[in-house]
Amino acid sequence: MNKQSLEIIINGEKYSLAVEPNRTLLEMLRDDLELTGAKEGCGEGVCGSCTVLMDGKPVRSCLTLALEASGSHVTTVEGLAQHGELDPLQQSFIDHGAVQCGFCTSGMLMGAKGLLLENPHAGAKEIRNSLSGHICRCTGYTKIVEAVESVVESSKEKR
Amino acid sequence: MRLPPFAYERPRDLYEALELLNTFGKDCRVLAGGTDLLVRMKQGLATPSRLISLKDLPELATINESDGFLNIGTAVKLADILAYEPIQYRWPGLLEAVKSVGAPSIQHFSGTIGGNLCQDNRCQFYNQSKFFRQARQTCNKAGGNTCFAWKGGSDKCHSICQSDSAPILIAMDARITIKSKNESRTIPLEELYSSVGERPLTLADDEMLTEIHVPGPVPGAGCAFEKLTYRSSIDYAVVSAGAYVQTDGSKTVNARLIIGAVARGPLAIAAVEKTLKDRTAGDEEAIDQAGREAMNAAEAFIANNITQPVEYRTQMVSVITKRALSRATKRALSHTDVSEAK
Amino acid sequence: MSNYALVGKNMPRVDSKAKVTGQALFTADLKFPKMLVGKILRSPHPHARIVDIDISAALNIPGVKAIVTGHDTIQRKWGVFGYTQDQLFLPADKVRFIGEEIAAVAAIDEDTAQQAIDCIRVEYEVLDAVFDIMESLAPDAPLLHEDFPHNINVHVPINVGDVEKGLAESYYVREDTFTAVEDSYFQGEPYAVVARFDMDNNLEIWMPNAGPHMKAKPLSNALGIPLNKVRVRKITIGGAFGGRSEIAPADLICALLARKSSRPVKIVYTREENSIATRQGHALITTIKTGVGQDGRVIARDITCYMDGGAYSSTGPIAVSVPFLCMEQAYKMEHVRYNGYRVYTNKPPRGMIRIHGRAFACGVDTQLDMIGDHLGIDPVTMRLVNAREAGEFTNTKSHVASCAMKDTITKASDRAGWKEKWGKLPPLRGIGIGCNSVQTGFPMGIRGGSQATIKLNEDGGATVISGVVDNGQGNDNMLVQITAEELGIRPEDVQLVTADTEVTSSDPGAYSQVSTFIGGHAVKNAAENVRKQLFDAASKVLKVDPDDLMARDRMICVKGSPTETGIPLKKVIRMILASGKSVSGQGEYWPKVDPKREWVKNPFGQMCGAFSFGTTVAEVEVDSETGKVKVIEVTVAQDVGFALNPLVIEGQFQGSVAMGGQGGILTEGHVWDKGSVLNPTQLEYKVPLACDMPKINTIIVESNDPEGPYGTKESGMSIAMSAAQAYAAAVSNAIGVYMTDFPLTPDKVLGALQNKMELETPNQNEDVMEKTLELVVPAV
Ligand SMILES: Cc1cc2nc3c(=O)[nH]c(=O)nc-3n(C[C@H](O)[C@H](O)[C@H](O)COP(=O)(O)OP(=O)(O)OC[C@H]3O[C@@H](n4cnc5c(N)ncnc54)[C@H](O)[C@@H]3O)c2cc1C
Ligand code: FES
Ligand code: FES
Repeated sequence: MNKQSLEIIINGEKYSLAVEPNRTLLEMLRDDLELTGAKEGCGEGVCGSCTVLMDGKPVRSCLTLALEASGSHVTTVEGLAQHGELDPLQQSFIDHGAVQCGFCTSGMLMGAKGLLLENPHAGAKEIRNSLSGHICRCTGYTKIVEAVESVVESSKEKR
Repeated sequence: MRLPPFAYERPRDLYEALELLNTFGKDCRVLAGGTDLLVRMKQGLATPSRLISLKDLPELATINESDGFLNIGTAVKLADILAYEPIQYRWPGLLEAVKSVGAPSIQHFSGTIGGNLCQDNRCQFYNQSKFFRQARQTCNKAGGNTCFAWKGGSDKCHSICQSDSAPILIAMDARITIKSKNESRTIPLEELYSSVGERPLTLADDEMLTEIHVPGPVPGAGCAFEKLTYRSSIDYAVVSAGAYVQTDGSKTVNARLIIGAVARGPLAIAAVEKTLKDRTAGDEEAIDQAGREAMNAAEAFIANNITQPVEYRTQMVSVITKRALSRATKRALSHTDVSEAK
Repeated sequence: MSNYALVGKNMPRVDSKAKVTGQALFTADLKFPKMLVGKILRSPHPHARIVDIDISAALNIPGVKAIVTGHDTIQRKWGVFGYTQDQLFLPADKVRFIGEEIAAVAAIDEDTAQQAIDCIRVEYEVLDAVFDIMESLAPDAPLLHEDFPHNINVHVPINVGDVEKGLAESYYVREDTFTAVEDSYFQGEPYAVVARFDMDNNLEIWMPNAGPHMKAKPLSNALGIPLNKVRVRKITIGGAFGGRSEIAPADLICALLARKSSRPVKIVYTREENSIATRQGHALITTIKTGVGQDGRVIARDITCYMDGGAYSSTGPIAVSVPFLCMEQAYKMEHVRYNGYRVYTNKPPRGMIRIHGRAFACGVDTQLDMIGDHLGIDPVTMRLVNAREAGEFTNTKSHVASCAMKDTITKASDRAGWKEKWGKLPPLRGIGIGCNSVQTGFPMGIRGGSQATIKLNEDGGATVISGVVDNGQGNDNMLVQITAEELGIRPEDVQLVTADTEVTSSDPGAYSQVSTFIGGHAVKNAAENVRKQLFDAASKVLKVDPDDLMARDRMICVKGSPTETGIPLKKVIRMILASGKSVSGQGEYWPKVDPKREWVKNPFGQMCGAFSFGTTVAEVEVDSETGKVKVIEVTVAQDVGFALNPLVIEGQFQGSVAMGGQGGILTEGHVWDKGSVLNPTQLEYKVPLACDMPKINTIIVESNDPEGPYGTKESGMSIAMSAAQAYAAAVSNAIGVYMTDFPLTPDKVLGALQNKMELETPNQNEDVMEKTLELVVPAV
């Protein structure tokens, strides 16, 4: 199959690439660009561990063609930290013990980031709701929800 | 999991898209959000040689209201429907349906309304990996001639339509516009569904769904969507129901009920209208009777096509029907004047 | 009171940062130059003789670098125990389940590998297959293994006291049968293996594992190379939950492909492969006959349990024993008889899962409630009357040194408001309690103990070398925490070299909740050893007795005096190094178990060093129309011995409630069509999601075990089990029907409710009932 060209900004960096039409965004990130933070837990849109932000919105990269992402800004978990500073969500996940095996973590973080970009004041219910597209087998979710809630709380305090 | 090879087209206007459809016909498929199509392609259930992306067709991604209709472009994302404020008080049934699709954070930012309506039928013996299917005979839907979901086999495919938006939109009397290179037609949404498991849509190979038109609410009318699942999210319906009830303030004057996830297409329960008509709106006995009628009608169709037992699903048709009708009625009675409603 | 700097306090895990930034590498993330992609050809038949395998067409495909079949193996059967050797990886003669490995390809990319797999032609002679425990035991059933008559893989008989006499003397006796379908781990990470041989022909291999040393030995056997040439490397692991402990076919296959192609090979399982071709949980039929005194005290129990083991033994004898052991640890009884059978069927092999034997555990507790119901004794009292206490012996002669079971019962039930709620909740609301106990470790023969080494550098940093593996539960952090505590340094001063069979000494792995109790203990001992060297040197400078010294804040100082008055640790290390010695030390821990104890032949004697005890109380509400269960609140209390890191323990408890109760009892179970799993992915196998989870109250109870490091035992497992029991009890309580078949999906709950209504009010619900009886299938 012929490769097609693709212009994309990933974690703030511009890429001009050529990919086959049947390459998923997840394959391109993991295999071509060695950004392995997004994980493949099912490949069928079920688990959420492949979630990345496309123009600020969380998408399942296993069900997104790389070519469909052309022209977009993509953020992966590797791009969450800015200038060597962890994103508040990352720090909060650490502090709250929201990470166990860590396989779901990058997807969870990107899902949470997408939510907070859209609604920085999301309440507990909204947080739970929006994270319910992500499967975690280790934590029972409590600490993950707490970690996100605490970021919302502290952003309120700052205002 | 790998996708099979295909060519990718990203037309820049609708005409170009329709032209491609016209040229390649059944060898190509429309790619909207891809959350249904790409899964099937990974499983080897669909093997189009060309995908036509709707990504660059902003004309298909708009929501507007005109002439008493809510017009939703086929490529509008489910999340954009949720974000469209008037839907919350004017079309709450649609809101309920769209909210329940897949998982909130994800499906919504990729999945489209057109893709939701045009998604393929499903069956636990069909929506499986190639390996799973290789271990057994090919079923009707996959081009063979047996059905594992029907006791004793069948020469027909007994897959189900699990679209969540279809039942409520049909109940609300939505119409759709379908276009091909040379033609454009607007038809009732229910006519999109063929009730043939092997090929559940009536769309011709060169045709595309472009827009959905939902009638605005009428005073005294209400709608509701009810969906039963075993889990809070990431779950297709075990049974779903879209209900529309119109009252004159005290009596029911019109009602429509569509059941999802039990039959080869969204299943209209015609008897419900007769049963509820001219009875006191919200009359429990009438609604109970409607529930039984829905169950009786659905029973003939329910096959072993999802993991939940057939007997249970049959019973649930009645429960879900009653819940949908009751809520729709309640809304109808509280929305006597729509223009003021908020 | 304890005077610890780090242990016993909340400590965010040291491995978290790499995980939140995406830097942590899991097996599938590895990439090496010239690496090939491996794919496995699997049997589409549940039972068939392999007549011929033709790989010639596949070999001709450009890009295919190696193909292996059974003929590339030494064809020696493998088993965890000598007497359970029944499995050939890549069998050349016969396949016994759908999904069994037949051949494998390594090619330059995934598409080419798949294409080659599709080109391999296998000729089968299809055999009759059996999928049901009872059918498999029938005289005319097809035999899976020639040398295991009646398809009985393992029979564990235990008989203590005189059960007949005990039952005869009982005030009340009842017998009930409980069943459950197979459950699965659904670890976040699907199985994956990367293997390569270095220039000296040493195998380097990465895979998610619950014990690198448990993987290495069988690999060395199967490949016919010495153990020191098998290097199972450390890698981030996405969950185990009782799986991934022993060698898996993909491990050997990947190594064979790497050897044959002389290139690194990576195999990554699909979610479906992870479900059908790595071992998962058993289905069970358990019949429990219990006799009690008028006060509810259990006098005698007679239990027969049949487990569907699938096609191979796996950890069979352990799997058959553990449900029984958990029960005899948790509850006292005078006489007990157990007959546990693991039966072969043509399904994928089964193993131990976090709530292994849910029908057994839930059966025991449900029956206690039934008995209490009959005697007019409430569930909490029933459990208090029968609860294990410290200082006692189990029926199979394990001494229970520490036990706060009763404490967990009272604390959990008080916090949950049991007294206010029991018997007083509105209809369809229910509350239930469950108790269980888990062993920290099994007798594992030569791999029962752990050895660790710690070395200090001149800058005050420590390197810990230990075989302990972290599957996600936080074991790495535990090692860091212990080392830093003992040496008075900071967590960031500690580096780990762990779970790498090239350098680490033997360790039992994380399989049986032993990581802290045994592996952590060994590290603690090593640290104490090193600390002694430091104190000896420092005592000469400070002119005090070494026993009067302590290490804190990177200083060594006299106990009771401010740390600033001491000498920097760094300085002491440099002093020792300057004297020509290294600052390093070993530590070992060997659990006090009875070495003569054997699962089948001699199931008596000390089982393990300590036992954890847990209680869960759950409160639920049932939708009477749909049968759906909503969980309102869950309270858990566990005797963990000592709470090393409460933050991690709470996380373990919460995860245990999700997997044990919420998923394990309400939704999780496999659906089969003959030998095919109809729900191999999380879409239809319904693991719980964030919105499904209730509020969870966690209570940590400490009993300070005399053997455990700092008094620590295990955390989480006895919550997973007791959560299952509590959920089951709460649902039964809500609907007024004792549920006996798990999981309790809405259809079953509704069915039970309707049956009850039908019995209570005959002729009333005819209309609905008629429909439930039989579905008339019209000709369409
Ligand atoms: C884990 C998971 C859970 C899900 N749960 C649900 C659920 O609960 N309820 C539910 O309804 N769906 C569910 N889905 C299915 C799917 O995500 C949604 O239906 C979604 O709305 C489909 O939209 P899409 O744009 O992604 O469709 P696509 O995958 O892009 O398209 C679906 C089909 O429609 C065709 N199509 C799309 N647009 C047009 C058009 N304009 N004209 C003609 N044909 C068109 C495509 O060719 C394709 O055959 C789930 C999917 C996944 C992966
Ligand atoms: S890998 Fe994309 S959703 Fe699971
Ligand atoms: S932390 Fe292991 S799956 Fe979420």
